[in-house]
Amino acid sequence: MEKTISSSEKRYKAKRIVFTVIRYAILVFFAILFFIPFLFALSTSLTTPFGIYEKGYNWLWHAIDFSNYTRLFREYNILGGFANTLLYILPPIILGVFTSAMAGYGFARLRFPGRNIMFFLLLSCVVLPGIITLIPSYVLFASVYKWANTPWPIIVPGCFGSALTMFFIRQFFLTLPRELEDAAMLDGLNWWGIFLRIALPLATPVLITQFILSFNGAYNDYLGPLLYVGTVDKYKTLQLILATVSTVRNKQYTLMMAGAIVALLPTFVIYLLAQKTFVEGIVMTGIKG
Amino acid sequence: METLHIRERVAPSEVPNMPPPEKKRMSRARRSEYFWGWVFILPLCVGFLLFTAFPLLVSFYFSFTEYDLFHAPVWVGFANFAELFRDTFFLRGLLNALVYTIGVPVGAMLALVLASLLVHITRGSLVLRMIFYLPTICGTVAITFIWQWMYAPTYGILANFMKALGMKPIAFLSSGWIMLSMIVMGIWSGMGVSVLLFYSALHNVSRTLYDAASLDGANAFQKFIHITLPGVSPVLFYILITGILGSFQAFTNFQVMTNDAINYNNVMPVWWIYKFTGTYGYRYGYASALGLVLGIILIVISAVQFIVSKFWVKYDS
Repeated sequence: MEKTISSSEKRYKAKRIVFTVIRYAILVFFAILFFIPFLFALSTSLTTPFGIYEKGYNWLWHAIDFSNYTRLFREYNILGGFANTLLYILPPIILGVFTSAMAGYGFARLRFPGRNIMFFLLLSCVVLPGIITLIPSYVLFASVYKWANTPWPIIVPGCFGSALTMFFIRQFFLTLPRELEDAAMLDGLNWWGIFLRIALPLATPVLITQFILSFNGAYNDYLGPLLYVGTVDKYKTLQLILATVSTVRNKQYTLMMAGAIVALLPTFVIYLLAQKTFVEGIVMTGIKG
Repeated sequence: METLHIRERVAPSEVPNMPPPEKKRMSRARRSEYFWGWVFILPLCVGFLLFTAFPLLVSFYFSFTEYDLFHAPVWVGFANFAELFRDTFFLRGLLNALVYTIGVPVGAMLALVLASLLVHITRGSLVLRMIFYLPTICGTVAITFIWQWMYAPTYGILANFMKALGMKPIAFLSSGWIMLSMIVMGIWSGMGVSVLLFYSALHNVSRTLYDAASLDGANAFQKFIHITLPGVSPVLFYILITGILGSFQAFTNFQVMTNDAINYNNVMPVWWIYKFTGTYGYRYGYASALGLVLGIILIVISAVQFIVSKFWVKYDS
């Protein structure tokens, strides 16, 4: 009797091990599939421009050559583009996350007339497809604000915050206990003081997540800068300059791969530094930048 | 903006359950709350009015005009709308966009499979999730470059791979293959978010449900249909809604992949709209009409999804 139990247990254990192996096999297979384009891009970027066309070229094992990177920085204004990008996106992200947090706090913690109407209005417009306002916004910026061919349309709107960011920060503020504010009021803080000194510091992880998401979205944006400064060389962002590396005739794949690697380096580094906050923050907020 | 201020001034008296006037202290605290409430939401509301509500309103106006930015807008009635229904490139763009959205459910299913494998393992789960998420943090331009090289004819990575296997390389970017190639690239670049969302949703599906089903003799497939799928249905719904909206408005990947060479086989609606801001003349009235119609189509698609979701999305599990 005991023997049969232990043998069925053994069978059960063996079955579990087989399942685990199959699971890992499938997952690792897909992980390699997802990672391999990056490896190929890196490998190609470190090849001489004609190396990839040579017979018997070995993908994984070849002499390392940095000439694509030196050419990239010499022939394209990569650093200038990067500086432009940072100049355009940092003010709206920092200010925008702050104003979104302000509104998120107001909507979550204070009761005032008009609150529900405004909240509903803001959120119902989040689900509107962006394409509806794209061209009219462009026209307004060009003809009313006289901002044609300047970076202002990329910078200014974001400074006022975003309804989506507000929503996710509000979700966090809703979880705070009411006693927090009652106690602070007794200590003589007004609402602004409570927000600045108590609520905001508590929300730091949420703010960091929103900051990274906003950074990713703005750093990688292509259509906005293309519309507003696409024809002005000195205002071009990194993404716009990167796109010019690919030309219709005579595609220089080694140079393009060097460009791709350089362009994705900043977000990649931020991602590695904040991986845990990021992966968990995404899950918490459930949204992509 | 005007209405905003008016509401701010008038509002306190509108509140139904205001305390009776004898509580002077209370009312002062209330008033401070009203004041600060509006101060907190004011910047966001101003930005919303200036950069969302106002453009939204004028989009209706511009759609009925011919406008090149240099001359005053000319009212043309429904001419733009009549034109766009005969605009074969725009209609073909809508069809291409519809084809492109096939990647959304396919990607979601693949993500669900990977996420349900991930919840059962302990070691290496974070690293695997990070790898799946990696393409999502990279910019579309960089990703499209990498896939241009993957798909490149003769010397490209996939072409070489197929040659090594003794096959004839496929012209991935030719008219017959381009949509499928873009779908594959789209699934690769967007699936990481879905994996993360499913992963956290699956963690919340109660273990006891599976154990009870096992006792009742349910097999793996039945458990998937009756427990897993309802459990993750809100997340699946979210992924389908946002994914379809995103796919229909895809622009950068198509524009960069083809070096802005538009044709019937690769045209996408937003790309076509962009063409009227310079390449094909300055036709902002027509571009607004195209944007408005595309937006309304997307709102209808989302609305239908919301109605259908009543029958399959389970919110309390």
